[in-house]
Amino acid sequence: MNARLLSRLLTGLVLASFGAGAAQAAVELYKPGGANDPHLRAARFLGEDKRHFSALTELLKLQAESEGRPVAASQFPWLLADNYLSFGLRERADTVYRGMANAASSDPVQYGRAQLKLAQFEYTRGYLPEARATLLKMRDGLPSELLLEWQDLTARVLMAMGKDAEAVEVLTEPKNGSDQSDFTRYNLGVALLRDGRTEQGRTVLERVGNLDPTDRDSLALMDRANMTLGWNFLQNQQGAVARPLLRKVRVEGPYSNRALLGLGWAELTEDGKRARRANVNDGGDDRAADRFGSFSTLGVLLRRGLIEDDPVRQRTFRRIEGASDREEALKAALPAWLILVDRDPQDPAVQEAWLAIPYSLDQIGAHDQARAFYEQAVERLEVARKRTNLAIDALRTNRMVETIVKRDLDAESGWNWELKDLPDAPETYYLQTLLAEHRYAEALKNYRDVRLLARNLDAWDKRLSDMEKAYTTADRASVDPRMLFSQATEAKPVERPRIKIELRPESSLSPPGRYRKPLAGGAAVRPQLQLADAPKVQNFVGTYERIGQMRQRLASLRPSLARIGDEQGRYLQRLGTVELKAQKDQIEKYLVEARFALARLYDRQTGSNDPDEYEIKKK
Amino acid sequence: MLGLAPGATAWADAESDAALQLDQSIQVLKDEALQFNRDAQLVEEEFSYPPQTRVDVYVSVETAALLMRTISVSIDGSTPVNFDYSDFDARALLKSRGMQRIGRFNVSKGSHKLHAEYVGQYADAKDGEPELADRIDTVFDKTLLPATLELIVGKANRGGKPILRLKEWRPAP
Repeated sequence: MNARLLSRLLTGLVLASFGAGAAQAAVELYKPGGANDPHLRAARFLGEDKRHFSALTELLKLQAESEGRPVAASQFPWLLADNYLSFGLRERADTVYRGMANAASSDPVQYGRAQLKLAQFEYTRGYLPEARATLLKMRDGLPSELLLEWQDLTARVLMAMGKDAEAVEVLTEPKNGSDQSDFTRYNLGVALLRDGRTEQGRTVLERVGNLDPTDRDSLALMDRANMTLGWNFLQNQQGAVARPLLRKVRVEGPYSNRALLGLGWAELTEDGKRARRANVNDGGDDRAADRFGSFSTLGVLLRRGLIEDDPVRQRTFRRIEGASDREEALKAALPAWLILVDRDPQDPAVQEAWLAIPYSLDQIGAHDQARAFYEQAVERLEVARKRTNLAIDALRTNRMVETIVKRDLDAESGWNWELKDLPDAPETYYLQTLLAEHRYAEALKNYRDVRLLARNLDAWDKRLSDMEKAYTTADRASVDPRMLFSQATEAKPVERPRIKIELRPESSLSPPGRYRKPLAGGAAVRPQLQLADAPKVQNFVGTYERIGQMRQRLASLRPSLARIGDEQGRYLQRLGTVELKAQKDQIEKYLVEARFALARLYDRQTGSNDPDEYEIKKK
Repeated sequence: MLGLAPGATAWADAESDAALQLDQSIQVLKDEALQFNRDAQLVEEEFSYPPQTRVDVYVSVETAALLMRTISVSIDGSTPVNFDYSDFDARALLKSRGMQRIGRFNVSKGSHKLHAEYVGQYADAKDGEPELADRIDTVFDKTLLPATLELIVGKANRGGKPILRLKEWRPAP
């Protein structure tokens, strides 16, 4: 009898027994491990609800109850692997995916998407060679609908590995540039610049910088493209081309501080050569009206570059003697920098503006104003240094991480967890850049997960104790064996309906082996007997014993989890401390500069050196 | 955007290796914790909700764009089990086409009464539009095997309001 027919019969029987019109649950049958299995459907909801740990537990229970047979539902391995990955269990997910690679039932697009998700995980967690291998492995036979996604991720992985030429190749072959997203085109522009193909890179970035924005993301992308391009021209002494690009960056936006700083410097740098463009010839629509103007060369004085690590700061500004309109350029630089003065005091661009303003004022002869701005800069930098020291101390006590993770402590979202906003603590204010980086965010996710599991095991400690206590103290009634017999036979089909089997206690039967009366009909033919090995003694394992086993496992797991949690916490502290120390070093360099400049100003007032003399000495 | 100074590169490489090693150790422990939870839950189910008395009640939504707000379930007049949905939970229930376990009960063999109520609203409902709600009083028959009940929020007919109905699931022999 098939399941559907049986289901109909059951429904009919139940309805009949309660009479017509009675509200009664309809009964339907499901195949254990099939698509309608409640465990599976519950896991689907839990996974979608980003409760990956609970979803996995549900799926593993389903697997355990199938007693070694593969679970029938075709979606089971997908759900399992997806939740494994989402909870940060890459190795487990990879094993399940590999098992599906050759399965006839695998949909190539679904499989491809799963591989892309795996590679994305590997990329963000820092397993770059593994991410590259995953992506290259899926290149052959890649479904066409996944090509753009594959190109974008592969290029980002390769760029993170410093393989910019390979990234360019991935994004330009096949020639589908016009299909690629603006974000992918931005990455192509940057990869081309980093690979030394400057004109092509600039051409691609220029197009991204001239998009028709549709939302906040595309506006931010445009700003970023213009900021990157503007600074690229600036670093190549092409100030006149840099200026209009940097002006295009919105005054209120994530890149505005850097753009404003660059704009000031662009006013002071030589106009340089006219920009040239070169198409990448990859099918991308990078043609645009020539917005790069042509300019005469201006000789302007530039303050020497300060820091060598930030792309925005990798400058080779040089001093050009004899600039006729130097004073005009200095005056033109000031408005952009003045906007920066009262912005985020932790932003290096703002801190640099604190020094750039008095420098310009000094150069145009406004010495008193210059001194006042230098004094203000020293004051603000001292405050910044003090706050940085406090933040370093706070990091050592792990307060910041605790503040972040305690916000949604019970979220089981694992790898999908997102830090939505920052707690109002001084150290988080200083660590915004770091918090946005994959290496920190991913380490934070792991730290959260370990804390979640530690709390889960703490709860189990009590739950197991309650069960143990119930066995020893409570007057828990034992289950009637007849009821267990009925339960065991209830679901079984009746094979011999005439034979009624029932369980009853029998006290009058002899125990086996006591019956010694000779058998009738002569001597029995004794079969050849061979002694079997005595069965191994097996201890009975009931619920109580299993609770004991769980107790032992819990005792071994909890300290391991506590240890790894501490280790992960220390790793986060190290990352934070290195970042804060770098910021502190930067502030101290600025402080030295500001104090030195102030000393020069005071000296000059007392009739000592002139600035040019100082510059020569400093060289 | 901040890059690393050349001197910091070696430190960063060493830290990256340490981070990956930590990640792998954490993966192993997560896996152990998962297996522990699987086994511990099975033991707890057996102890606290033995099959002969266990009733699991789930809820699912069939009506497109219906977001659950609350659900409440009681059996034989027991203290109701309530669940308040966040928007995220409600959307997850709808999108997954799965079912959410609302409660687990112990009842004896025989016929039992179940009462349930839900409140919900369409995702595109305008401000001030009344919420959708329904209640159900029904009976189910508990055998000696675990019972799995599904409360379904769905339309009884085209154009009608979403109502509650109960379905019982049993494993095919």
